[in-house]
Amino acid sequence: MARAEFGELHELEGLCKCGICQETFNTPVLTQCSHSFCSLCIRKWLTTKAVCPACSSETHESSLRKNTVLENIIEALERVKKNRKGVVAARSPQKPNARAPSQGPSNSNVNSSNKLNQNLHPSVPISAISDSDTDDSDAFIKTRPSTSKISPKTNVRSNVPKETPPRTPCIKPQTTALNQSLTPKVGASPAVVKVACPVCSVEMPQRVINEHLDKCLSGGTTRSSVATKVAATPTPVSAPSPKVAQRAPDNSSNLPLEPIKKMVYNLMPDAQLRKELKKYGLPTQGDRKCLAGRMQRYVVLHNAECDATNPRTLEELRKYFEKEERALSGPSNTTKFSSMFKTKQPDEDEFDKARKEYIRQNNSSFQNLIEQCRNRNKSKTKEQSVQPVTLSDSEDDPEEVPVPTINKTSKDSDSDSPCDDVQKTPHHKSVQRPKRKVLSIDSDTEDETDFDGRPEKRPSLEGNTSPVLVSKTPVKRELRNRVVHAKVAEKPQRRSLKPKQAPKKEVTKAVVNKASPMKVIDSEGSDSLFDTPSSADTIPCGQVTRSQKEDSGDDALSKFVTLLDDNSDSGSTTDFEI
Amino acid sequence: MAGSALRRLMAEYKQLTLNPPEGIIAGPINEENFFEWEALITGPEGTCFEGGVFPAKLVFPSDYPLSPPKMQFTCEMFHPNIYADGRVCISILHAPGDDPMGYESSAERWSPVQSVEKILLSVVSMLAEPNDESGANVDAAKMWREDRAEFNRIAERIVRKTLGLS
Repeated sequence: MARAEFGELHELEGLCKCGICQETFNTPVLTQCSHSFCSLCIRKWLTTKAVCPACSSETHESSLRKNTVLENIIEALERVKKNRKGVVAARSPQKPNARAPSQGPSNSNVNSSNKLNQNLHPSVPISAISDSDTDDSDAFIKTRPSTSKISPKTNVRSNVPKETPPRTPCIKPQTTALNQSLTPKVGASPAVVKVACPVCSVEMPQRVINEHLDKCLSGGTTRSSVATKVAATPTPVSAPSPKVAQRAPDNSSNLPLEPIKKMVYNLMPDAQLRKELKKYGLPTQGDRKCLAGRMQRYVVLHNAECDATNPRTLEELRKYFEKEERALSGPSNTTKFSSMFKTKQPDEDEFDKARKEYIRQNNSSFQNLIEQCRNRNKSKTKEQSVQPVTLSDSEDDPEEVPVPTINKTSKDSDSDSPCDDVQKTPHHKSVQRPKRKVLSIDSDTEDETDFDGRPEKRPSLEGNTSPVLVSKTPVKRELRNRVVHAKVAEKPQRRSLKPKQAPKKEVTKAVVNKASPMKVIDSEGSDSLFDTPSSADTIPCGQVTRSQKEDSGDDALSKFVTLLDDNSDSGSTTDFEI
Repeated sequence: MAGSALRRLMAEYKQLTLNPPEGIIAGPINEENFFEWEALITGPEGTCFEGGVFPAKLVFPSDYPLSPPKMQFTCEMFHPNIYADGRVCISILHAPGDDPMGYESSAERWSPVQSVEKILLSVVSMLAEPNDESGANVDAAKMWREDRAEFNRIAERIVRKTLGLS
C-alpha cells in the first residue's frame, strides 16, 4: 500500500542510492565527472581501476569531493520516509491500538502492533511527526503513545514526560536502534531461535530476520542510522558528537582524522610498512603482500571516514577494520549467512537416527564392555562366596592393607561415623539400591540386624577392588582355597547366629551354584551399607569409598549387566563352590 | 568486503524479486550461499531462440561488485558468443583490466554500477543479436553468417530441448 501511495518518494529514494553498493548513500562524494558514490565504495573501486564506474572517465582518489548537499538531501529524505511510514503503520494497526491503548506490552495485540511499527521505523527518531500526523486521525494520536512512535523520540530526548508506567517496559529495551525491532518479540517468546543479521550482525529471532534484512538493506548501516539520528535532532550538536569530542583527547593524538597520504607500497621496505600499520594499531604479521594489502584496505577505509560528517574515532575504525579483515580471511563468505539457517533445531527423528547409528557403529565396543563386566561379576561372585574366611584372614592383621587406603582416599571417613559416611557416598547408595531390589528374598531389617557386618564387608571389597588380581596372584588363590574350606565351617556358625537368616543364605548359595551369582552380591552390598559403627569400622569404610571410586566408572554398566544376567540365564558359575 | 558483497547481492536479489524484468528470473540456488545464482532466461521474441527457457548459473567473486561474476549456461547452447561449455562471452562480464578479444571499449566492460539485472538483459539482447565478430563459438559464428537457415534450425532444436519437447 505504501508503495503505491508514496510513488514519488520511492522515485526519490531510488535516486539517492549509490550505484556501487545499491544502498542509500553513506557519505557521498562527487567525482570529477559529477557522479556520486559512497566515499568508501568509490575508493575501493578506484584501487581496482582509476575510472568512474558510471562513465568510465579517468578518475582519481584525490579528485573526489564531498557531496554535502546530497548528504543533506538524504537526511531530509530519511526523515520524510520515517514520517510517512509512521503514518502507514499507524493506519494499518489502528484497530488493536484503539482497542488496547492502556494495556501492557504483554498483550499480544499491542505487541504485534508495536512490532510492526518498530520494524517499519526502527532507528530514526521522528521529530516532525506531529506536523504530518495530526491531520490523520484523532484516534491515531490518542493511541499512538502505546506504539513505538514515541519510543524513538525517547532515544534522543531521554525521557518524555507523557510516558505512563505500563508503557515503559516496552520502551526501555529500545536503547539501540537496531535492536528495536527485536526486543519486543524476544520478550514475548523467549525460546525463539536467534540468528544474526548478516548485514549488521545483530541477533534476532529467526521470524523477523527477513523484515529486518529488508530494513537493514534499505536503511543502511548502523552508522548511517546513527548519523541520521544525529541530524534529526533539533540541535545540531547532539549526543554522539560531544561524546566523540570527549573521547578525543585520551584516545589518540590525531583525532581529527587526517587523510593518509598515498603510499607507494612497492617502494616501501617491509619495516616501514609495519611501522605504518603499527601507527594505526593494525596487526603486523604476514608477508609483504599481506601487509601491503592490509595497509591499502585500511587507507581506503580511513580516508573514506575522513569524509564523514561524524567520523568514528581511530579506535572504532580499527575495530571495524579488524572485523572486516576477519570476515575476509574467514573460511568462506557464506558461513556467516548460513549460520542463520543452521541454528534451527534438528528433528527428533534426526536425533533418533543419529543415536541409532552411533549405537550400531559402536556395538562391538559395547559388547566388549558388557563381556568384561560379566567376567568381572563372575569373579566377584567367586570372592563373595568366600567372604567369611577372608574375614578371618584379614582379622588377623587389620592394619595391613586398610590403613594406607584410608589416608589416601577418604578424608571424611576418619572423622565421621562410618555409617554416616557410607550413606553419604552417593555411589554407594545408588549402587546398592537396585541390587537390593533384585534380591527380593532379602528384607532390609534382616540385613541390618544381621551379623555384625564388618567382617562381611571385607571380602566383598576385595572382590570389588581387583577381581582380576584376585584370581591371578598365587597368594589370593591360596586364600581362595582356604575360603572354600572355611566357608563350610562358617555356614553353620551363621545359622546359629541368626536362624532366620540361615535358610535364606542357603537359598542364595544354591542359586549361585546354578545361575545368578549377583544375588550373593546383593546380600553383600546391603550388608555393608548397614554397617554398625565401631572403632574398627573406619577401616572397611575407607575401603568402601576407595573401591567405589575405582569401580564407579563401571557401576552403571555392571548394573546393566546384572540385569542382563538375571534375564538371560548364564549358567556359568564359580568352579570351586560346592 | 565479503560482507559488502553479500549485502549488495541481497539487495539485488530483493530488487529482482520485487521488480522482475520481463522474461528473466534469477536468484541464489541456495539461500545459504548467495554467491551462486541460477537464472532462467526466456529467448527473446522474434528471434530464433523465441520460446526457449535457458537455465544459466552465475558465480560471484567475493569482492563483487568490484569484480564481475561469471556466467555459464547449463543447457546446450549454440550461439556465436557462447562457448561450447556454456560460458558466456560478453563485454559486460569482462573486468576492465582484461580484454580477451582486444576490441572492447572500457565503457562496455564491467563496472560496479552494473548489476545482475543488467547482465541478464545484456545476455537477452546478445541472444537476439549475436556478435559474430567475437567468435566464442567459431562454428556458430560462421554458420550465423553463412547459413542462417541451418543456424535457425539448430536454435529451434535447442529451444525444444530446453522445453523438454524432444
